[in-house]
Amino acid sequence: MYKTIFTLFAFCFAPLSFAQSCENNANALVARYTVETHTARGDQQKLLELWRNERVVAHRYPQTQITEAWEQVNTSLIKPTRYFDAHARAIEYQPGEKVHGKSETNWSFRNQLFSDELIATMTETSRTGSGCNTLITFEREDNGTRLTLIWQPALKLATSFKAESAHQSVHWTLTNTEFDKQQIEQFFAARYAYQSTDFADIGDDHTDPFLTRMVHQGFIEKGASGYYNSDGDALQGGHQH
Amino acid sequence: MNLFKLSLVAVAIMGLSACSLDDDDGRDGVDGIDGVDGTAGTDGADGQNGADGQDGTNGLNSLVIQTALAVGDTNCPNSGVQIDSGLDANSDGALTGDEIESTSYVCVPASTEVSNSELLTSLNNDWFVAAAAEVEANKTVWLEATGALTTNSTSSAKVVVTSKENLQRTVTEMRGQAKNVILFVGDGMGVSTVTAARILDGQMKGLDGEENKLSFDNFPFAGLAKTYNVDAQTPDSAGTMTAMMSGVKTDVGVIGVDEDIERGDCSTVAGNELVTALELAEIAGKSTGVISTARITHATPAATYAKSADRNWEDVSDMPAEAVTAGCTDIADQLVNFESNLEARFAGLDVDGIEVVFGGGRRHFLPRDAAFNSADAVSAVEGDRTDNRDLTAEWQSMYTNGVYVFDQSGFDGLSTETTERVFGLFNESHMQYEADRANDVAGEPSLSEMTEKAIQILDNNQDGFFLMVESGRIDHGHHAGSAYNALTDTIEFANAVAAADAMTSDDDTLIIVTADHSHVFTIAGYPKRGNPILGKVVNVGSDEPALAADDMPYTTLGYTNGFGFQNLGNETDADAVYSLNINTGRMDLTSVDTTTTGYHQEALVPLGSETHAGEDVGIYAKGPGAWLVNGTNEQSVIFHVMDYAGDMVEQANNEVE
Repeated sequence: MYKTIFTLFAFCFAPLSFAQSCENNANALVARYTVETHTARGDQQKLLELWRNERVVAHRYPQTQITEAWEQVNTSLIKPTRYFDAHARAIEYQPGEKVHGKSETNWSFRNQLFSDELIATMTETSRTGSGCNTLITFEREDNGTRLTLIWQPALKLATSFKAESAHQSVHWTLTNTEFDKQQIEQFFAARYAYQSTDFADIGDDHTDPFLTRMVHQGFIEKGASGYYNSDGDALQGGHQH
Repeated sequence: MNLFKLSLVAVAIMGLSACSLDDDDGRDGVDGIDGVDGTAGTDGADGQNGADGQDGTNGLNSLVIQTALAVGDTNCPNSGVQIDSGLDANSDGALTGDEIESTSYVCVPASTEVSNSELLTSLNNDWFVAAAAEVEANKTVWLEATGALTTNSTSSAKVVVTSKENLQRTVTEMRGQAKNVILFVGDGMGVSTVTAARILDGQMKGLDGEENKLSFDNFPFAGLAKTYNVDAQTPDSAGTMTAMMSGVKTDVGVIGVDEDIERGDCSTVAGNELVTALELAEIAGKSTGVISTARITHATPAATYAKSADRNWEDVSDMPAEAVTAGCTDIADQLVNFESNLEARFAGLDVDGIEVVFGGGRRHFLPRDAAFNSADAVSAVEGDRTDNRDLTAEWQSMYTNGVYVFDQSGFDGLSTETTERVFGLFNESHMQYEADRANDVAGEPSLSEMTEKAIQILDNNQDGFFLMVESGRIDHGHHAGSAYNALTDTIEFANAVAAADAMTSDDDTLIIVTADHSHVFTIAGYPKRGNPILGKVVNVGSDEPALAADDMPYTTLGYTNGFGFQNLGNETDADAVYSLNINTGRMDLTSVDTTTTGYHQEALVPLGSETHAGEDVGIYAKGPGAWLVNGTNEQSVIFHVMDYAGDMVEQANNEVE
């Protein structure tokens, strides 16, 4: 469950700067976010890039140089792959496996960062713009945590998200969106070219320095965004906490 | 027994004799003193006789004492009687101390027989009866296997006593009696894995479990294999499988080459290539097959057909550029071009190539181009090859009468009587765990199904066949710390062995079942009989989980190292745990159902992946030459058993000379 509590700070957002053309393809884009976390222990800012290319979506964390990618095999199977950009290495998982102990079948969570299920639990509080430029503000209050999401339904993309409690606030801000298909293709092609290892094989090879480090240290989980509650659970939907 | 009884009778008689001795009579009195002579004169009247002397005192009694001696007595270890005799000097009616003038013993002789009536408790015991019958059966099996028994009927068995020379001749004559050889390899299937799988299998059948037997538990011959690699105490699959397939131990991580190789150095391959059992069978004109639930380019299957300085060179994109430039080829390429590669190594050789290939690893045979994706693809781009070659197409053009399949329907459609050869790649990477098989996109066959289909195709060759069958994901289940996946794959592996056994004859088919190495997997605590093998330890006489010194319950199964505890509920894909953080050490399992498919056992040493173990593994065998499997062996001996049974080297030599 969320242990964050409301903050008194209200997020201000300029929706017009993210007005989109209907010609833009929601299935091939890169969206860049800053993620600011404020706690009593201090403030942090992280970067996150969301890359979509049809049935493949990736979350890139520039600071840790890790890219997590998911391929939608079918409606019930998702194949995760983690790219360690600093090493040009990839670890592939079997489709259908669980991440964070939860089923990796929720494509909308990976593709949109905010799952349809989470959004469905929130209340629409305002709506601006029209057509492709529509922006919807959703809110939810749950156990002392106030969630606020400003959503672009045309692109299925968040322009802002806040999770606020008395002790912590997390604020995502969409800073840039691009639709350059060639750039997107190159992004994924570069990672497909990484030396790839099936995770099932890691235990068989203790001579590869990269794999050996993983054997000894475990998977480098904290390359992730920081979009976790205090229990370490990812902010996936409204039901899992 | 008769001796014992007679001895007791003798003792009784001796005792009676000793007790019947009478007392002595008193002595006569002393004569009186003669009278004094009278003066000379008339002879007086004769004097009167003196009075009789007094009677002497009574003599001493002579006594004989019998003392029963218990079993374990120094003088009579098997019990008996001690006989003491002497005079009762103090007339106290007892024979003690210095009065004993003589001691003798009558001992019960040692027992050399025990009557059935005295052993009814044992003889009627079911365990005793079963074990005795097993010994008799084993004797018969041994005699039959070594040619000393000239009939297949146990009841009318006739033992032929042979001289040493005859025995030697028999052994020589038995060489090459196996027309077919099947090698089953459970990757990572250590002895504890076999035991736990046998129990789980039994419990899934409603039994207690411990009494259950996997198919190869019933094989008549078994031994142990020392698994170490030339340069490694705890081995990997590449070095161990090379030893089994080639008869030569080698370094960790290399395929089909000897220890003079330098891992990763292409230039050191040439001249160090080994010849495998599969290659010998191929040269000898037999049909050949390779099956694995792992990628078919993975270390174990690769060691049957490839020569590589690194097990990871599964396709060209996995190889360093200098290795490619130097002329080394990737493992997938070597599989597809096995026929021409083998012919190139031996002048004048003409072989027809591998007839059956079933496994995963399609990615290594396809170009890195989505246009080549199959309907079974799980990645946006299924292929990994960077040389733009489609090896599946090359194989099909090379073998126009061959059949390439990649899913269950294609597999099911194979006509085993008319299909000359088949190339089946059922998954982009490894095939599914057996427990997870239903989740495959396009469906894929089980190991049992692949084994059956392979034999049906291979046995079309009257000259016989060689088949290697690997259950590759037992190893992966353990690496992920999932006993459930490792054990359920082991059970399916045993099913495949049973299928092969049922389809072949012991008269002409050697079946060897073994593992390449073990894992740090333990069966611990003192759980009571029938306790769920995946459950928490419940002690004998208790219904509640036993508590450790930390007052928390613990499971029977566990790992020495690895990822540690995870509770993923009904998850059946053991790989799932890899996305989680290491979680070693003790956990409170009080409210955890450890028997679910997604439970991952606790581990001690935190490692990102559970590791292999270095202890011996079992070898189980039946069929011609199987009797050579006993004792503790170097793992490379397995090749030599197969060679003896199939006379592989000799037959191959005849073809190339």
